[in-house]
Amino acid sequence: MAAGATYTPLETNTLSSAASSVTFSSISQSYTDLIIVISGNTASGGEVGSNIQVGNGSVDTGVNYSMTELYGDGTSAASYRDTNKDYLNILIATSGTSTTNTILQFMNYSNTTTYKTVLSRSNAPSVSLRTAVGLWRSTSAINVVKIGPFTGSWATGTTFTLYGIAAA
Amino acid sequence: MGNRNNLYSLWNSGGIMANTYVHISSTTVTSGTTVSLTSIPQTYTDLLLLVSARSDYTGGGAVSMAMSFNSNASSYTSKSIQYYGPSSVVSNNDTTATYNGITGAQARAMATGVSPVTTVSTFGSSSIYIPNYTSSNYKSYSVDTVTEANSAASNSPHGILFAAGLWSNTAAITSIDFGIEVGDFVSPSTFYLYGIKNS
Repeated sequence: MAAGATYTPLETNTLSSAASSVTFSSISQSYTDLIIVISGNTASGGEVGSNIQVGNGSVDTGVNYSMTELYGDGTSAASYRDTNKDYLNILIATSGTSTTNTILQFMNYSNTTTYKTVLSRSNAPSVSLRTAVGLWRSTSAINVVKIGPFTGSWATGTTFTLYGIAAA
Repeated sequence: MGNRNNLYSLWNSGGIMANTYVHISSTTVTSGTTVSLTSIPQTYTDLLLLVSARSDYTGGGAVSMAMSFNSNASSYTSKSIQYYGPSSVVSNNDTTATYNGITGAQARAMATGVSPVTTVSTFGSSSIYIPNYTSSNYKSYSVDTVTEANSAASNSPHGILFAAGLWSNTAAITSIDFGIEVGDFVSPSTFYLYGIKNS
């Protein structure tokens, strides 16, 4: 018996105009993990982090997020962590022609037993890179993800693609 | 033929999800100093390249590779976070390198070798993700590399590398070449290329 497809594109959003955030909502609960691939830039300004919120039905705006990361800018490396925030700052982006990319993986996003972990590899080759882990302290399944730069907007043409990965 | 027609109908009606994580090619290297992945299809959104490689160099330390796109020798920059050997975690600006005739991004520590200080049969592992490789934007990519050799020697190639790379070129990527820094590839060094579609 042939295996079923386990890496399934669920939704792609290519911005036709600048946007302060992109939201995936009503996310299918039929998969084990979610992957979001972001390729593009912010509309203006220099290096910025992210304002990512997740939830069930609507995004959680409470102080239920934490993160730990490694960061490097070509000169020095550092680690950083944050607790009890109302957003996840786990990606890096910048404006200009130096396209940035981020891969987010939400582990076991649809279970209702555990808090939710997200892994991030984020690259802004002209300024810095980071590898991070984020935590949302909720046992609710995730069916909405909102992704914004920490300040400003995503640039026109930036792409956000959501994939579902099934364990079986 | 009847079964094929039935599957075709199911596919077009949404009854079967498209396979979006597709194996494009497998290249297994038994010797030599360069690897070429050519005629990359332009029908995917992103590329994922998984590399398992080892050099037969015996001089100590990890071995890098140069990685070029479309045989282009310019406009590569990258930044990395690296833990290697006995040093602490550092961040580097990685420059263009030329190894065995391949000029491109310097992919640090992508291959390990260094016998006899390294455990035999140990290969470095790398994951290279290239989003929107057919777009007319500059191409940024992500590299994760690990090497582990069960050796406490200071020149043992154990380490972890994360890199953010940029090829400042608007051409679609149609080929990828690798040149190893020193030594020859050890068999079986492998380069597995996958295409990922967003629809």
